[in-house]
Amino acid sequence: MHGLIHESATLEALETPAGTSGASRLRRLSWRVLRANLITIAGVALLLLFIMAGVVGPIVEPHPPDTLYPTAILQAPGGAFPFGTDDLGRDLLSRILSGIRVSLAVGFGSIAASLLVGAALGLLGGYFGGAFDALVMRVMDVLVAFPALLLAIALMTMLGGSVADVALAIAIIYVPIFARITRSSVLAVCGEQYVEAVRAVGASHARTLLRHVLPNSISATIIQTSLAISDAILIEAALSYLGLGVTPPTPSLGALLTEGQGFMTTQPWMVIFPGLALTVGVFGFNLVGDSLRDRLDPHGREG
Amino acid sequence: MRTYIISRLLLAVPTLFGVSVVAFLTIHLIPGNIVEVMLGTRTDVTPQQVAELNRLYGIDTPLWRQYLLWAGNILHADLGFSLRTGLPVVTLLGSALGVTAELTVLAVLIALLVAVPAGVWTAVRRNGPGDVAARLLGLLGLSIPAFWLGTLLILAVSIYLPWLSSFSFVPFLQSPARNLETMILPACTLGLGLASIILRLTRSAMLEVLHKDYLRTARAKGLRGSRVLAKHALRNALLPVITIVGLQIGYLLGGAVIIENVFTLPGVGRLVVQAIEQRDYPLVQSVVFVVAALVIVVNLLVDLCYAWVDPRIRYS
Amino acid sequence: MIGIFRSSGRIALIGALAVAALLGTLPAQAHPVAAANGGTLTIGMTSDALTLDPTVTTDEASGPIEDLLFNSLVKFNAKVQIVPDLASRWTISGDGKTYTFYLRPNVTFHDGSTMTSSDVAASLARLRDPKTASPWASFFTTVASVSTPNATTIVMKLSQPYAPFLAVIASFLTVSSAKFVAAHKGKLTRVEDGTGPFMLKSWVPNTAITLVRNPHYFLAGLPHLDKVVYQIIPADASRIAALRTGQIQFAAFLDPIYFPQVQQLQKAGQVNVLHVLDINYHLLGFNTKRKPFNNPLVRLALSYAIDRNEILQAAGRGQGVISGLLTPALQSWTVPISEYAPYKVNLAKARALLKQAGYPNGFSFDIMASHYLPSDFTAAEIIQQQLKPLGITARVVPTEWGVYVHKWVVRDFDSFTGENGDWTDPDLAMYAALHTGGSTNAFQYSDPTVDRLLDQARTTTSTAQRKALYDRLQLYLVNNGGPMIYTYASYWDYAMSPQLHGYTYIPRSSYQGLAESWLQ
Repeated sequence: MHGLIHESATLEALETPAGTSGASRLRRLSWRVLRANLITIAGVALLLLFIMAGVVGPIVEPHPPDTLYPTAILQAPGGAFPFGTDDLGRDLLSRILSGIRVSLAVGFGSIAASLLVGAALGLLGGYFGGAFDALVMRVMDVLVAFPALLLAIALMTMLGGSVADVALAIAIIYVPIFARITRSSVLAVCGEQYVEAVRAVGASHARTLLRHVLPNSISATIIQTSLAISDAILIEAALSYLGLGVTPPTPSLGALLTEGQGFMTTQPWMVIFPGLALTVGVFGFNLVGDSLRDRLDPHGREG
Repeated sequence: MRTYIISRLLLAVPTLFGVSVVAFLTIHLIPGNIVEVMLGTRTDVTPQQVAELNRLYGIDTPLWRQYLLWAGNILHADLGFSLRTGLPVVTLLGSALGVTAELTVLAVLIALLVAVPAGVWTAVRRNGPGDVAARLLGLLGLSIPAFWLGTLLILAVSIYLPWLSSFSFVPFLQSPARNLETMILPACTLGLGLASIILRLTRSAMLEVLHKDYLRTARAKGLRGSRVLAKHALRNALLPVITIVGLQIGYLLGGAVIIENVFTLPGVGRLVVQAIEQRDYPLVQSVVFVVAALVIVVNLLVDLCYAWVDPRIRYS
Repeated sequence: MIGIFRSSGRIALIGALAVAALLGTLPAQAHPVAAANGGTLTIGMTSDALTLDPTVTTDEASGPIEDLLFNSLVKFNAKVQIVPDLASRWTISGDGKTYTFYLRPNVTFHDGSTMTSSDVAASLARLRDPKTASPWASFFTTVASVSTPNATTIVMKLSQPYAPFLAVIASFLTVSSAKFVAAHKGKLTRVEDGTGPFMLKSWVPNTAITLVRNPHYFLAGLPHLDKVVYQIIPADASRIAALRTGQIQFAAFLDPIYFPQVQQLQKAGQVNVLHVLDINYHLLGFNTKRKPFNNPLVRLALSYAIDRNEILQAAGRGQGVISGLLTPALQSWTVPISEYAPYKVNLAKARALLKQAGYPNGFSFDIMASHYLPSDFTAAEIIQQQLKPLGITARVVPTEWGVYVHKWVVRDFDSFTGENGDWTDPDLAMYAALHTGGSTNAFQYSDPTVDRLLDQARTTTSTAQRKALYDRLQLYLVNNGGPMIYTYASYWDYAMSPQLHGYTYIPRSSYQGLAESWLQ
């Protein structure tokens, strides 16, 4: 960000004709700042909206998500049911809020787990090298060779349907990605001279790792985290769409889409709203991730 | 260079072995076997009949023996036969791969056609309103779930272009026109996510290149702006773009699974999902192995390209 | 004018009526003059067939093709009654153990050779051979011996009377040329040599199967159609579109979500729709070896608590009828649901029963359900809600199909929602599912009264006696807390072009009726 302001200010200085007043130049600069930061602002806003919806959902929802209202089947949005009802007379808004909670739980849970395991593996492997590193990397290669969704499908068929199972399956898929990113950053950092200097002075492996290597190699991993969360949410939705996701009655946004498909020509809201909610959340994570990438790694050299 | 190639090839061997074990184990660890799925919950069979069927389908031997049998055949390039249909896996995979390949190629073409010019344009107008808008749109493209977009497109088409929705899949060789009609929507849906990635990549690659000195020299020498752009900037920017497309093959194949499901296309994604459902062991194992091997091979080729271009990598 | 109907006129009239009556009872040779020959019928199919060998067929996509390729000794008519097929007549001995079939002479296989009784015997032997591993062999275990006194007679002796024997033959035995089977070493996945009205011309996997008319079919004048093409169109919406454009002229729909669209096509005059009841029923099944379902009072309580109509409306979208175990599709065997006390929702009675059973505050349990059977999945969700007022917490566990089947096989479930088939005879519908140790008795149900009645009904030869026994069984199972709660039987929509005439719907062999139909 710092760099961007600097650059655009320079360009401005080159392009602004001499004699323009300082006040209008300032205004133009702040407008530039806003525009350049638009992505960050939009991302954070959407993200907050999504997370808030999930967190306050149970308090705010107009009806319990799995209660049937047989007299209100397939109602259009409005009145007691702001987003309409489904074919069993369940309130769509409440089900969407519930689904957002599931997406958040799976998204954060799976990536947190895979971040911890993956970053640890990458850190240790990159730092110590040798046979341990080779073995870990081969295992990661094997996992990465499978298209993520296929692996997820196979894992889900084995595991079962709780939120924890879905999070586990997705975590397994992401461990290799975090491992690789962390490892390549660690390799780059370890090549720097100051690490050798620290070791030469007598610092233990643990101290070197935690105090020096880790903080300097973590930025690429951080960038990946936000994007990985959005991916995880999409994978969970895709699995639910295929019928392999979370146990009902807890609805998942993907499952809501599958339910709505049969009715989409006559009751399109059943398909539009769940997808919209999903897109808002994923978009938020992607925007935040993208602006993080801009700040920490503008030239895309890492990750 | 040669040592690099050899070392990478050698590294691929244990990876492929690991892939084969995972491909084999994942399908066998899922509860339920092919005989159970075949018989369902309505056939009146005795335990002896079940034993006979287990023998017929080769699932009565220990797992390690089944693995060795299958792996041995793979080494002889024999992918086996589908237990469910009796057809050779290679035939089923061939036609499915053709569909998925066509889908991915069309998606890539659409993505390139849209994203490369857009990437160039946004790089040139850096931080202008168009740039920010394009980046936002690009990220939005990555965020829209493929199955939602696909479903919405099907809905829109059925309302506004009803004649388009009546086509079910026709192989390309049978009728190219009908085939493209069925493939256009799924290709656009799949291409959207890819377009976003290519947009960002083109943009950053172009930005790097635009500031290079040799461009200023070329301009100073009097060459016209757009020619400079096309000749030097674009060509250098395209290399990472093309390599990224190769690396995205994993994403594309995964995305294809969902798209094929939404649009009921007979591609590899649907083939594998159905085969898993039916516990068609040879089909799942061989197809998953081949797909993973393809991903490894493509990644290897991409790495070799990088190494050829950037000598520093070779000696690391 | 009235004078015409005096003596001679009256005789003429009676004569005309007699001729008309005679015509009505003649075999299929005599058709209304309107039948036209020729044309190709294209059928829309959801998925590709797996095999052309009925001996090993267990899927839903192969049957439709086999219906037109093969015949059996006997077959079903639209009223699910046994009528002649390859056997023009048969006799059953007084003790019910000897069946003598008299075959039609001059029936030829598709390769031109003549069918004899030894082909029939060989077909049956192959079905029962353990090496074939046919899932249907268990229905023929009572066959003690088979003999062929001459080329058109075959005699089967059973070890004990087995009332559903003719139904079993009609459903599972088909006749193929013994020489052909031997020449192909029993591998009949992609080849056939039957006696049916159509023959295999080509099979493009996952695309289409083409059959052509058998010019030597043993029913003269049939079939009328020249070709039948089974076109694979997986998506229901695409099949509807194909019907609209005339690309296909016949398609079956079982998912009630699509019925409104199909009926729209009918209103527009583009198709005729047969709205028929399938021989299937939906159920909630219990594992009677697990608490609390080991107590029949609990099962009965749930039967009183569940609102079957609500399930039919929501899960079946109203496209079905509430049914007991033997559905109305089985015509004469059905017991009217008015005789089932628990079919009227009665929460008070349910509560009383639960209290009596020792669960005054309810309990919790799992319902295994699969998205593979979508309406049964929805039914589980509805049942979950319906049981809440009783303090019962039901958890719906979505289970992938293969895992579902596995758990069903190893009996690892509390309860499940699903579908069951009635086959074509009450014994086939009930024995294996309800007898102690029955192979489809996943409920692990065991009741000596039920066992006794089932054994009796299976060996009784009198239809009237059997009906009485099965009536008793059905009432007993529903009113005494049997292992299953039956909810409804669902409709299918068969959509066909208005140009298709002469089609008769026969339950479970719905494509056989195309042998007599024509396009005009």
